[in-house]
Amino acid sequence: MKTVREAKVLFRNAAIRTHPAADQAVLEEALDAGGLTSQERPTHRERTMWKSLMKSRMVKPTAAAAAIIAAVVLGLNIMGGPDMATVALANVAKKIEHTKNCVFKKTTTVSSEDSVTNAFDSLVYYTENAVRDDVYDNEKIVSQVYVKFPDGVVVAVEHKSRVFRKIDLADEDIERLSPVSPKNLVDLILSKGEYKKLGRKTVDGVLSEGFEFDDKRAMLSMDKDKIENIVTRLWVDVSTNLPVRAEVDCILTDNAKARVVMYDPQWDVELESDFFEPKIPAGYVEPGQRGLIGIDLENWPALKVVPGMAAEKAGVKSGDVVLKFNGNSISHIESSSDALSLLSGKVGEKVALTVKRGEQILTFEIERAPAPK
Amino acid sequence: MLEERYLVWRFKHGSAEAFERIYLKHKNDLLKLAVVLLGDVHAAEDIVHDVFIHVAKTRDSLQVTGHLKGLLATSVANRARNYRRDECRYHKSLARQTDGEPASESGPAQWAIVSEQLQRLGGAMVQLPYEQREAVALHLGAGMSFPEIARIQDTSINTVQGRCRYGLQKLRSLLNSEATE
Repeated sequence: MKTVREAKVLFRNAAIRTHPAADQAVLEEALDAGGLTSQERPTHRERTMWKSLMKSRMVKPTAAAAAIIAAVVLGLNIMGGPDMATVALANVAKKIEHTKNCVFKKTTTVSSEDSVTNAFDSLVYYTENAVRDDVYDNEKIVSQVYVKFPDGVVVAVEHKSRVFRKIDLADEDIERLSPVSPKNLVDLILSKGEYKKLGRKTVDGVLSEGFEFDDKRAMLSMDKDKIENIVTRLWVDVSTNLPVRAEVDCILTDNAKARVVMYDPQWDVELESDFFEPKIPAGYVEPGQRGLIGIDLENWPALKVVPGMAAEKAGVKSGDVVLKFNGNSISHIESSSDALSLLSGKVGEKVALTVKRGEQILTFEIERAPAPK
Repeated sequence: MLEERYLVWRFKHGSAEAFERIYLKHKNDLLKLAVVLLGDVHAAEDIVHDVFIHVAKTRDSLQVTGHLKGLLATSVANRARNYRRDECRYHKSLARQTDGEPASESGPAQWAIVSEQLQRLGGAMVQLPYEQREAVALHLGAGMSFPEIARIQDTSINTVQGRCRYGLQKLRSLLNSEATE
């Protein structure tokens, strides 16, 4: 072992495994300790029971019969029951109406003609009256959108630049800016009345029935004139009549592609009463109040000054390496986006920037100026 | 990334399935971390067991601001430190009371199966001073940054970097000398 990298590999390769029976025992104990006996557990019980029965000395048909009997005794639904009937979209809409909210994951991918792809993940919390969309990047929430339908208000919070916007909107704009949801899609199919049945298949581990339709309104935030072609597929759990996955694929007039996938929905989730109230951290400003010191952070912690801006006027030069910001070490700030978040603030505020230039340590006082128009 | 955030969120809202997935994802890494911190598989099992029980019990107040792995690793590190402190106290008092007679073993049935490579690594790690061992294990084993470890060890980042550097040097010499013996 010679380098840190080799040491990391050594740690990674030093294997450990566990006895499955002990695993199960520890897990069960922790679940009991936490009072975690949700309705999801029977799935596990069903799987275990099935496996243990099939492993027994009974011949297979007998084992299968025993499994069915055991399932009846344990109240498990392995035959499907009423869900053998075809899913009716009207029933799906009715079922959704009886839920108070839905939380689902959403992945949005946009690929341009020259194959540059941008993708972002979000968690969407959807109710009849409000929506909250938290966009993530590497486990951090980078931006949030709160929509409150009755108030006609959208609040967007951008954490990287520490900026928020509050927008009062007309009804049609609210609809346009609100995130698309499984409920929207069911309503759209029903209002359009035309769709293709995709039959049954297992989607995300759930036996589902699929529906396909084309309606540009499925891509709510997109300019409809820019959409060349759109296909939406909705998969509904045949046993619960609730959507399990929705995919919207869109080809745009400039040959770019957009895809939105909504998956892993959870229904009737307990949310705090103020969950949809916009939370704007202290120090965040509206775009007009945002001040810049005028440095390019691409090579952080080395700086490049923007000509004519405050940092250059104060004496900072390109190539200076930042050591401290307002007297605090910046050694924990590793990415330029974290640096942007650190440096952002209000117009008129003064900041102290300590830099290393050659052998010299210099500190500059810089006043944030408005962003250039 | 998002997957984990979502899992935590679902777990906090009472999902047993989410807890199971968290458990399955992290148990081996945590056991490995505890083994290299303590050099004792039974103690490592006890500690990781305790961590999962504690996490399950306190899910309502669980605050995950960074990586869940970091939070769980911190929990293992804190317990490992307490365990060592209690062990020292226990052995001292045992030595006073029973002339050093070994206590009967009543640990749990075996949970972890440690590879030869991990045994060798654990054997070398226990020869490092504890603060160095902890810094090396948390940095290389749990992937924690120096500022994160500095917070756990309640010391400066420079000190943590030093502990890692010296710890690695010693580890290197221990492992290399073993290899050439």
